[in-house]
Amino acid sequence: MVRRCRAGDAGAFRILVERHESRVYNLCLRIVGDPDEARDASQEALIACWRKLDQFRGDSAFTTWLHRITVNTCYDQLRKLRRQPLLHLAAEDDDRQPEPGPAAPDHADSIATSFEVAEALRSVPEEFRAALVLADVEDLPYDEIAAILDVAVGTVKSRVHRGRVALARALGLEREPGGVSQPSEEKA
Amino acid sequence: MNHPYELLAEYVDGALPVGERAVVSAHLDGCAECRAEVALARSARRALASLADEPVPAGLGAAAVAAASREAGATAATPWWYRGAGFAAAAAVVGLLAIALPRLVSDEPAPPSSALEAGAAPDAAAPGAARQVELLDTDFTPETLADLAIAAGSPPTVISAEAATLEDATAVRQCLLSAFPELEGTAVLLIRARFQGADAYIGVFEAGPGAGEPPDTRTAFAASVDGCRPLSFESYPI
Repeated sequence: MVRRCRAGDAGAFRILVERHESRVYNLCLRIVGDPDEARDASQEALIACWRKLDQFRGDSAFTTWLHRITVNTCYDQLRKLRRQPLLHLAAEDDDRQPEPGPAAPDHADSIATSFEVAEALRSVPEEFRAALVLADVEDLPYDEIAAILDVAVGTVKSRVHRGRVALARALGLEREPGGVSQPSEEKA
Repeated sequence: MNHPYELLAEYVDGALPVGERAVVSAHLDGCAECRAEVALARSARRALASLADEPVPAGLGAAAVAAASREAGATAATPWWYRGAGFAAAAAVVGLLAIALPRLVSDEPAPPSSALEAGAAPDAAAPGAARQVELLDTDFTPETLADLAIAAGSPPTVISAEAATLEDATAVRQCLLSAFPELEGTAVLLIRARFQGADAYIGVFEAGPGAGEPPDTRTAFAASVDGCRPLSFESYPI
């Protein structure tokens, strides 16, 4: 199918779009945060996919390649929008101390609606947000996320952790009463 | 204190190997900040897992495909028989145009069929609308389908051929509409032939950017006769 698209077969591209438009749109929606802007970004990403198909060498999975185009398009869209203030990103190896505070209860799903979670995502720094969405919404493995974002796997893991913490704080979970999770509570 | 940030994500995932898990656990025993972060990260991970996919807005993919089709059409602006394609294939398209073009440019209205009078297809009564279905012994490909979209509205250069009136034009339109719900415009040519070996209805439609506006795009659609499934389509700017 990809080969037919690369040969300029718009009919084959239509089938490719049908297969992937939901994934592209939802990724854009979670990264960009606004349905209208996500729609625009999705169309841009799909058109960019069509235009760049001749650059797809097959050295990665097509979906990885498409995710990379989509994430980059979302970044472009966010830069254009300037909707939220620029957020200072800590260096990946920065061991700055986070503000200590009471731990949140481990029942976020019972206290945050999908709408609240989606809204809170918008306040997560952009650079963490893409990694976070790819990991915890798209459920992609860290090595694939590293390939999509073109960064080291360790960087992805760091961004995902920082993104999770930022999201929980945006949801106000830090202020919730409750005990501190014990280290031994890790679940396999 | 150095905090093992790179390990905390996998710790929360429960995916750390035993040795690294022990290292993190030992750190957490003495680091309230990291314990708090782990608890927050677990909450966030669970919250994100509850996010369901949202439905794709109507027409999102179609806009991208239309843009791709326009670009593909632009690259194919010169019909391939002028670009040195094989003689046999060129002859097939010339033959097709010989059949189709007299109807496209005819001033005499074709006799109305009962189905058309019933108005079952929105464009059936439009000026220039195809009223007959041509039967062609031609196996179309995406390339020849694109050439059909390019050439179907050209001035006639070859006139004289017989065409078979085969099937109810309205039924063919409905089959194409079933395969391509986004299809719009006026059908200027309806064909029963084959597409990549499969029995197919092929319709060439001209559509404008909005209702009442002159057509700016000509698209050839191919749908299977069996089940009216979409097979392919090619667009070209008029």
